[in-house]
Amino acid sequence: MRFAEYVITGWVLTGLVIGGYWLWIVRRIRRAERSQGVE
Amino acid sequence: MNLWRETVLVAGKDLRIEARSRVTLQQVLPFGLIVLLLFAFALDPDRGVLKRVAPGLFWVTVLLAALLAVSRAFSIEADNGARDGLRLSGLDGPALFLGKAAAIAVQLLALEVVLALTVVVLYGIELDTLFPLVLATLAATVGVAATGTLYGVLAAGLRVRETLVPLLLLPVVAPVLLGATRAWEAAIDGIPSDAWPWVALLGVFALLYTGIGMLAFGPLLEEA
Amino acid sequence: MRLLKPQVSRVLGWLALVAVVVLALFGLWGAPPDAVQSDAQRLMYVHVPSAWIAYLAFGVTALGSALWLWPRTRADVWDRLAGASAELGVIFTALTLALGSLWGRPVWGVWWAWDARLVTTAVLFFLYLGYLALRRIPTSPESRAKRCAIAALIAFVDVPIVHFSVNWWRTLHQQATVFNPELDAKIHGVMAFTLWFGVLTFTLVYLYLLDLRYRLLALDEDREERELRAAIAERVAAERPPTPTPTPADRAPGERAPAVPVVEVAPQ
Repeated sequence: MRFAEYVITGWVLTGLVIGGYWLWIVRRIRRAERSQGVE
Repeated sequence: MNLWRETVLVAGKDLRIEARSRVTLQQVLPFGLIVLLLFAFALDPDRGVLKRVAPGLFWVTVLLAALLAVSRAFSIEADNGARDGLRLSGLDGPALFLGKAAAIAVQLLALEVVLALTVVVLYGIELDTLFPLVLATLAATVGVAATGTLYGVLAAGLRVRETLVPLLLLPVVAPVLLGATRAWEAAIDGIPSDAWPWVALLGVFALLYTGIGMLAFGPLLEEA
Repeated sequence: MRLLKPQVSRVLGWLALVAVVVLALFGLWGAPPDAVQSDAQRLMYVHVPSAWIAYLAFGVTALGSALWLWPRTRADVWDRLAGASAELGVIFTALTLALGSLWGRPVWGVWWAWDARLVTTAVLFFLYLGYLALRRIPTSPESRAKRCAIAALIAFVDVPIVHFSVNWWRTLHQQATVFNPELDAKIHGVMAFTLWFGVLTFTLVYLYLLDLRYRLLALDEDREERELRAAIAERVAAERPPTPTPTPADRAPGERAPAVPVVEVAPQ
């Protein structure tokens, strides 16, 4: 693939950003739901 | 009282405070002058760069000075429950907005006159075709004053007001910077008639944000 | 507390994931390289959808803000929707800018160009940042909602003005022809399909994440509300004549704070 370094970087970045953000939200939701359960 | 009289009342109050405290004159104006000076340190005056970018530098300086002017306009009401006084005064939101914005605009215009003369002297430009230039300046100033007043009241009472307002205001007034600079460039060493479309853009911006300000000021003041 | 029912959210999540995989297959392999841009075209399959979401999210924030401000439709859901969408928006705007740069370097030879779309997207990024900064300030939910809603609308109105003025400026200067960001109008076949599929994929991702972020926002705001009420109750209890009142440490887990009749908080 020509320009492979740009293309791969772009797609990996996209995946990391979306996946990372998803993970961040899910973990915080779990934490929040747990603390809500305690009260 | 009608809108006009209330506006004059509020603007008059703010301008009288300035007349007595002279903060804009003694602090904001020198700040603007220093910024113009600093640009020369940054941009090497000998190679004609300053002259070419003078309109842009002028308007960037005006925007930075406007940040201070807006901050000042709302800090005068921060103490002694002065904001409560405004709320209880029975004055209409639109009038309060127009009054404060007008006071800021007047101060900015005064600043701009001095800064413009300074730019002529320091950067060596010539301001001949004044008519489109003056109109552009007026429209731009109204636009900046209106948006500044809007964000000023939006952030009023918040502890982070001073760092927040610049972040909020500058992106929104980017078109004003663009239009005013292009209008000046057209008037100074381009085709003066090229300035008119930019003047129109600045006028639309000014009207739009004045309208929004008149609607939103009252509700925002309640939250401050 | 949620925008979507749990089953719907789950299905949406899986659909989004599948769509992403399919998009990757098409984008990185199935679609042919472009005649002009060669394989750099493959970045377009994520860059354009990302830009679409960046602007869609902003629209949703503005819509939510407007609905909250309008007295007849005022409800927490709109404020929270606006807030959740804004965070997604800033992320996708940043991603759009980054992907655009990665695309621009091989195709145009530069990391950045001053044309209307790029500049407007950059301004959009800063408008989002300002909105999010405003959202983070700890004031009462109602006050914060009002300020944020008005700020969102001020910014929303500005975006077309920015785009128009920059576009005008750059076309006057004839720079636009060199860096023409217009997508190849002759795009067709698999490439066109992949592009549109990308837009669909990202929309699914956006909707799924929006629901999640909304849920988190609602949970956080409820927790803040609870903590505030508990703190007030403690304060009031502390100022009463000394009768043994259960402190939070004494309370068994699961027990709520005792109901306090009239809450008169001492002025700060």
